[in-house]
Amino acid sequence: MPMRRLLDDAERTAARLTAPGRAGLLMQNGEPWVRGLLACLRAGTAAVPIALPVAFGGIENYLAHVRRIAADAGLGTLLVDASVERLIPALREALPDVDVVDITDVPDAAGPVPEGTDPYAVIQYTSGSTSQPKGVALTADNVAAGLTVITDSLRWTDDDCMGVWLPLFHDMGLFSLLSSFFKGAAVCLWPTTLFARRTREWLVSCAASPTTAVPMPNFAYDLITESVRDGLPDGLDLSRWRLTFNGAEPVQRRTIERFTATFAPAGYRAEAMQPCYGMAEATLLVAWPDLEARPAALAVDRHRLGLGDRIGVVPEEDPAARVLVGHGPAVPGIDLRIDAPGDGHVGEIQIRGDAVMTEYLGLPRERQPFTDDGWLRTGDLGFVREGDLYVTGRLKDMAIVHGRNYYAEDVEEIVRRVPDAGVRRCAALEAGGDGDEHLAVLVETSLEGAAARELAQRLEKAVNADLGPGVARVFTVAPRTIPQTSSGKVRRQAARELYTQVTTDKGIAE
Amino acid sequence: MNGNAEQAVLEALGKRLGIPAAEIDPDAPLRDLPAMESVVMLHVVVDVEDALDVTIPDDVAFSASTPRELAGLVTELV
Repeated sequence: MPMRRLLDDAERTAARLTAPGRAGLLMQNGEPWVRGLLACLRAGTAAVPIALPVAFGGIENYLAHVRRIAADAGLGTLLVDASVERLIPALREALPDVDVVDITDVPDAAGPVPEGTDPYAVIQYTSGSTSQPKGVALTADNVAAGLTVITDSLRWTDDDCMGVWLPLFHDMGLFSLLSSFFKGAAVCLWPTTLFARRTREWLVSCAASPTTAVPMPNFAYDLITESVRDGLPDGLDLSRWRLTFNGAEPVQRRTIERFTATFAPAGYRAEAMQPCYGMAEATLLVAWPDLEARPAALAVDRHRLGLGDRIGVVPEEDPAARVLVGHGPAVPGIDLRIDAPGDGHVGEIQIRGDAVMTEYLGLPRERQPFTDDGWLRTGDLGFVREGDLYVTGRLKDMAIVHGRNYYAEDVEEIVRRVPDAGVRRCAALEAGGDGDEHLAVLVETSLEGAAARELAQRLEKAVNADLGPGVARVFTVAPRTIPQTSSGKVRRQAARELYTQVTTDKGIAE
Repeated sequence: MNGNAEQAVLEALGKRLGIPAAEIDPDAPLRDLPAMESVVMLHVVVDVEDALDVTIPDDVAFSASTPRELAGLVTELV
């Protein structure tokens, strides 16, 4: 669809935004979503992307979540389309004060477009359905600065085409879409469920499209590799993909290696894989390696990654080695600092720049994530070495055992790597206390009884060989019991309940 | 037709959850089935699509909360 027509259609759609208040977007990926977004920008009212429900998650919880967002963002309008047709009656009932407008078809007559004066262009809610939604409030200036950062560093041209199956309500999906438009380039959109349900079919479709760049989180690369387990589709050609962004969750070197090796015969170039670091709060991109640079990896001593520690580079074979994938330097336009004594020291990653958000919408000052001198606290820990950023993990997922720091994601990766144990999903948590503190590692297995106990012992031995004696205790749980998010990330805080259950059932005194 | 769809739904659930289809209560909330999670649901949807040769739109998957409801919505599509 030509941009000119999309803008004309957005103009007509903008005339429907007559209710006072902001406008929510609740649709599957498609032309109406994009048009609705442009209509909001045209009418000077912030667009509020809303996540679709998880299949069979229970509609009541979902509606309560949407109601909280509607109240927090001050929604006057909710834009929907045929992709959520069966939800519309329930949404109308749940949001009696919101004008629910179906924009599947472009309105016929162009009416006057409201002249909104919203200070914000986009309010991006963090994806988890927590009871207290947090809206990342971005002004038009923030968004323009963010898109400039992205398109400049990618050297984006109008010959490029962004291929997006990521949900547009997700920051990586949304800002990837807008980046492409920013330089007048095309976008290919797929429904997220096509990717999730029929990954191989998506791959063939994407390869046949004009797509030159694909943004995806790490787990998606594993899904794609898995989808061709029985062989590459005939004639698959990925040589047009000049960039595949790997972002939005921790980047695993294993994933990169497998993907790169699997698709090299289809013309996939190793340089295309770009481990990005970014967040909605920065209008997406904070750091990435750069075009034509292969992802760098560094093995560091996992016992020297606590706050303020000076990192130690070790050989990869060292039992204490933790391999981290480098994210390159901060992009031009974003200032980045580590709250630590100097280069090579671990601390919180802090950023500032024109693309960084003004606030979490309406939160009191003390709950805003800014330092006194105005830098955004990302909540991520990391270090800079030779100009490249390495991210070590989330501050809140770090456990302290016997005075030493352990990152949940590192411990989980060690467990998954134990040979012939076949562990796929596990969760590491800080547990115990009063001198009995340890890391509890929940591991899913279909084994039961003595076999499960044997597995737990074997894993515990392997993990403690890397971490230190008595640091971790392994507990087996039934398959698919560790809670996870809709995108497959382990919900460690929620897993605590399971841990309590497991330890109580087994009569282990805490 | 509804019987067909219900059978397909229960069989897909049984296969993906590793429990006999006959033991699944068609009126029990899907999210309360043992070991249910979103990835499993995606597989169940694909299995039902393949078994009945239909395309199940997202909002059907969002709207159904029990196997019987899902079967009913799928039947309307066939």
